[in-house]
Amino acid sequence: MKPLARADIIAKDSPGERVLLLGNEAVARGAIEAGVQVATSYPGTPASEILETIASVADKFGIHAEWSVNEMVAFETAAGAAIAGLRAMTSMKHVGMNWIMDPLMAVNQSGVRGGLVVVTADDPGAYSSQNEQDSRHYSKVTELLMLEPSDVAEAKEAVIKAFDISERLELPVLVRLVNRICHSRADVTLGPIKREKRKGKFMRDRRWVMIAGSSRERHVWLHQRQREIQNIAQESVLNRLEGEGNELGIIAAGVTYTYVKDALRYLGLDEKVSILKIGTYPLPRNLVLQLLERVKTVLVFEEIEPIVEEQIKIIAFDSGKTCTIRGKLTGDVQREGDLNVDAVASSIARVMGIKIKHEPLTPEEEAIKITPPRRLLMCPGCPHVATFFVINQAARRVAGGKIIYSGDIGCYSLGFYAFEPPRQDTQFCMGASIGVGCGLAHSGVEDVVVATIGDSTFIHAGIPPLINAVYNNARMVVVIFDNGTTAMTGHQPHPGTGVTATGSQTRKLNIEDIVRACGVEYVKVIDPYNIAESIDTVAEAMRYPGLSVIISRRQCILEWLRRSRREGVKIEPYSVDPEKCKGCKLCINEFGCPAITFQKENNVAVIDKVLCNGCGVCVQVCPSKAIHKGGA
Amino acid sequence: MVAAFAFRSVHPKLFTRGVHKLVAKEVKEFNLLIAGVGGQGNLLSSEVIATAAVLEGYKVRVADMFGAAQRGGSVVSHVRIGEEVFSPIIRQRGADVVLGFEPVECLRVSRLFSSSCIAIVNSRPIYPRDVSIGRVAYPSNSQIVSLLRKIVKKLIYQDFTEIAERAGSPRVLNMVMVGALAGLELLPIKKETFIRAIVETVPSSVKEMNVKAFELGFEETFRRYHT
Repeated sequence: MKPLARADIIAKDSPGERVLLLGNEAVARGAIEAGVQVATSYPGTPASEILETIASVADKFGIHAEWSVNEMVAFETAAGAAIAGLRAMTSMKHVGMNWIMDPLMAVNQSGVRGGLVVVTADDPGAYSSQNEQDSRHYSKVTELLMLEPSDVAEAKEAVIKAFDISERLELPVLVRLVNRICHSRADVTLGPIKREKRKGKFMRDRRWVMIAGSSRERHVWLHQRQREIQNIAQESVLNRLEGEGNELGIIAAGVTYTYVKDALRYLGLDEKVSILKIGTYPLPRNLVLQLLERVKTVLVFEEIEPIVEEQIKIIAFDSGKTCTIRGKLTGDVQREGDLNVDAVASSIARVMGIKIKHEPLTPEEEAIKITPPRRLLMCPGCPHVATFFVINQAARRVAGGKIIYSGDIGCYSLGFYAFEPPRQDTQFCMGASIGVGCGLAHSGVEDVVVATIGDSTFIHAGIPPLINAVYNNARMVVVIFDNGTTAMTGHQPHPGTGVTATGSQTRKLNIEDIVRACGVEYVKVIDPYNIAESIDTVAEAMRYPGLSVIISRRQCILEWLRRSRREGVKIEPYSVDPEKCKGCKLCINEFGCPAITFQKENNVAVIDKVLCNGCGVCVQVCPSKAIHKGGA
Repeated sequence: MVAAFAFRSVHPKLFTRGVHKLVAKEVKEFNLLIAGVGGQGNLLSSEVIATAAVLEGYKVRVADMFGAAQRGGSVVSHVRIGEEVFSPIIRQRGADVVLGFEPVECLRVSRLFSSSCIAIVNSRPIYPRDVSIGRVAYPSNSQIVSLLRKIVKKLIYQDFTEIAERAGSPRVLNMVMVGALAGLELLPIKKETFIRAIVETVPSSVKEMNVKAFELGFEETFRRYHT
């Protein structure tokens, strides 16, 4: 959780004060200033801090803040509150949008009463995601207004505006962020906090029942709103035509506007170009036409897909303009990966026929050459490291090591990077380990199919596929890596922890009960720190002629360390006796604890006492009994 | 405001183009790069420096760049200060100062160093997995130092983790590094402002140790580079 110091800053009631805020904190503060009363989310990088921030001050402002079981339920919860007239917000990472599309494609036609804001955090460059999906597509699909701020301060204002517009239109409003805004910090001026507290009131209305027969008239209603949405886009302060230059028209959507501003200054071209800053979807037709009047060539910058570029072509065609439109589709802007100042500067220079002088980077290239890669790892003492070791050993015993790891989204995903060969063989989306595992199991592969899924992910998306596996008789082993937290996104609580987003106690979900209730007959709980016993159990599960579920339960080491520090428990690192170590490297290649290193010259393993978190599992792993507590 | 900042006499070698201009209010931006490994606390250091800059009245942009892991991966923060700064990301050859929490992480981002760059680098390595299992080699100290010398104008390369240990824990390396930056007095930010930013930013239980770490880092560079 965030240190309390942040909560004090977020809750400041001092309009006009400038403070440093993380982009996600600015979004949260915007919602608080706008009088949000219900805020929901499911953790996901780069969006997690939005709800964390609101939750840290929720009690103070009388906000209901919750980690919902998944994004779809989070959206529905926010929508329910908005139908009852409250201001509600749901936030998620971009792939969460895929989950909410089902309810959103009905709520976009029923509309809402209180403001409903949907914040999506895209991940250009896919730094912490399975794809580079562009959420702006969903503005088109849902026919809803989407706002896209260009920086942290604008993100706060965009959220406030989104609430006002949502109530004016009686429609949800979408806000698109990108990683470079979510995880940027900037000085932000605080505004007044709206203190009006509404009481939910349900007004019975046919429009809340999106049923065959009534949905068609709501579709007409949604289309009638489009003219007003266009008017809002044309008047929005998020859109702006800057400069007088006519050599080139630059259209810059969202965060790319900041790259363009810096790049033009570096290139000394401010006077020669006009910039159209884009912050709404649909685009402001009036400003686009003004720009097209002025220039013969337009260069479009936007993160991920050429959505603006295509829209500009449509507007140009409709208005009979014959200018050249360049961007991702013409190969003038890089098609994949996130943009930055250098990429934008080189695109502008190329299109304007300017040569940029590059100083040679000889020593820098040499520096890169001698820089060893830093693979992503799991933490020393991570219970997942032990669980993977147990599964691998059991597969060796039962199936000659022939195993397929059907993977999922969470810390155990790092099994792909941390081991050789990788201990994640497939990985797609939340819950796919069990779903894809079903298909692998039915395909007749000879390998043992092991679906690996975390506790939070299981609750999010693992239960329906598990029921499916039981119902349709898929023979596989499902291992639930239960570390009692949503670790990868920063240790958020979930229903299995018995704690809510605001830290209050609630009923604790028992995962074994859920698994049994799904109809699974073979359910065993192991402690991955007990290696021998765990291998026996997992081997038995692999031999079981049906679906078996193993719950591998041990608290996340980072949480355990935090608690130990709080309670003053001293962590004693382990060490290797070089006399006994035979240099077999089992602790490195098979177990793979990142605290264990290898000394080539002496042919012995060595434990880095700074990195060792004292779990002691390596003692059980070492066949030469060379590892012991303390020493060295 | 920048011009009003009374800075002490700075070692002449430290007068690099970019920094000098900022102090003279000619330059439009100051770019600081912080490179380290997840878990070293570099994100907190960028937060402290940026908070101090905001307290002094500057416009600030910070980008924290990290991957999916909680621990162990490369983490880079870009801190940009100046009235005409828009993007949170530093361009190639744009960094005026770099704080390297770990030697090879510093090398990894060397394309961003300006030719007048000042580098404050912790010499204590954190071996990547491929090094610790003997698959690839970690460059030697002399290799690292001679390369960095070729790239940057001024290099301060020493074991700052040892100073953190003296302050109470290797975990406060981040505040030692912030102190080392502050001790050079390259930025128009007062020492007291840095301390106020630390007090406002770190959890109350560890405030004392963090301020102590800052002080030790400050003394280290202040003593060596100011006379």
